[in-house]
Amino acid sequence: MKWRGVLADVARFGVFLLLWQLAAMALDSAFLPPLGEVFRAFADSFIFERIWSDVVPSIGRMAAGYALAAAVGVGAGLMIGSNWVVRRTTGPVTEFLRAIPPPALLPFAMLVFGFGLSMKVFVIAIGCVWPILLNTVDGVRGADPMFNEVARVYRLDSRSRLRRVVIPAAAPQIAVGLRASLSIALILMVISEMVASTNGLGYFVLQAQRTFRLDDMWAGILMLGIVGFALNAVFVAGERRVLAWHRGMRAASDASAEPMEAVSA
Amino acid sequence: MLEMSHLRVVYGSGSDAVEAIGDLTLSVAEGEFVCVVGPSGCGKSTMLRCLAGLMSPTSGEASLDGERIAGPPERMALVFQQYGRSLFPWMTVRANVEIPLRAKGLSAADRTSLVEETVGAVGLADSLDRYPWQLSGGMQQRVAIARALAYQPEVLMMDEPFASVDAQTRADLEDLLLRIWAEFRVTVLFVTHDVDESVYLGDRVAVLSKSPSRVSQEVVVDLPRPRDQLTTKADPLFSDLRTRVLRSIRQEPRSPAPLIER
Repeated sequence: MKWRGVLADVARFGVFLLLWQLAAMALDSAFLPPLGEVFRAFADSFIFERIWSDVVPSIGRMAAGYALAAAVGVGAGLMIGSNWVVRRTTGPVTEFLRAIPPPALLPFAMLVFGFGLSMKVFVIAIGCVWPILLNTVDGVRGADPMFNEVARVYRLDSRSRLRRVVIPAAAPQIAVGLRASLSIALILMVISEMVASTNGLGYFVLQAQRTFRLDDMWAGILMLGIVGFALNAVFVAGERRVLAWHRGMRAASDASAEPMEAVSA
Repeated sequence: MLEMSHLRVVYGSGSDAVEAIGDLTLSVAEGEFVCVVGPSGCGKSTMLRCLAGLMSPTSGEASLDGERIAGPPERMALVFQQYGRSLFPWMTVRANVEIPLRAKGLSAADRTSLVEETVGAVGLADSLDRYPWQLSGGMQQRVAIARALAYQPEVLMMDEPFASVDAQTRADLEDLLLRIWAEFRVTVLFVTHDVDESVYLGDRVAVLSKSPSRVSQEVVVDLPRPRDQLTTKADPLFSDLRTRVLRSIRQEPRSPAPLIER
């Protein structure tokens, strides 16, 4: 059953590749090289020469920025979400800051951090932090107040209340933010590398285009697609494990939605 | 052991103020099973929230063993009506029952034995490693009772705990509660809107008036124990008592005064 689904997905992807190939043959354009050339360029570059010189540095930058955003976003989100005064004070500011497109901060980041790792980490982190922060705030605020009452009646101290009640209750919403930020991290990694870098996938794609190696350019884009797809798959697999209770609970309440509603009404 | 004297609770202020509890004086002796009944919206839950230390009364005071209740007391456990929301869905039954014991600082061995004893007492030993949402409503409420018992309270308070389960499950849970009450020797304050339930379970039934509430009558239930769903409820004394409680609720003048008579 499961394997049939996977096979069907592979087949659909095959159709997509076939269409690309047909389009390349029909257009006969230098801008859209045939698949064979793209694959050859991909093999030349990424097996395995540029894995170390470009792919790993790219993923490293992305991971550093993303991790920083996750730590700051979840930490600040828990604080803001559980404190009414802090929330009222920071609300308008966060709403404004999140509205700024992160690439707009690139010139500033280059000025302050130069062209190195810290500039890219900063840009990635500043872009990723908002979805994580705002979703964490929502997750904390939207948690059932009953959980908090139970925690108070049974005298949980603030540390275990945070660790065993507040964070798990907000976790599904935090995961939504983390997932949204994952694709933002990829985008900002590419942009920051296109603007100021001497290696990395973004740099590779732009450099290939500038030197008219269009098969290399497409190979780089293909690699970025693979990286994005793989990161998302890893994230989803992790989420399924950690939030298995949430999926189970939703499935259970969907199955018995009507009688449950009738009783509580 | 549990005392309320001249408890008064007003929500809001100024012209929007709503007096939920007018003047409530009630005491529960050690080991006693006291039921509180009253029409819906009569401030029963507000009373429990004051007793549980979740809110402070506007005036008057609640005390446990002579100590004024300012925050949730250590020797008190509360079972909520909404079993589906009072258990943590990210924890197994075992972890749900265990977490208050961690807060108490008990050793791992003590925690395990208490969890297994109380979950066994409510008949769910097989479900220790299941999640609450894998259980029926009645089973979830039994987990909540086990959690309260494992906490080893002197006073167990219950806020309409069986109001959301079906009739058969409710009868089973009532008998389970009576068994546990006898076995664990706790003092119980049981809030319900069901007159039959209050008479069947309690040593004494306190009838609350409509809000702003006060105790309009106390009825001593001298039905023999152990009680039984069939024989106790067939006892003429049972119907006498339930009639007395019911009449006391009915006769209670509606407040504010009826509009028609203006």
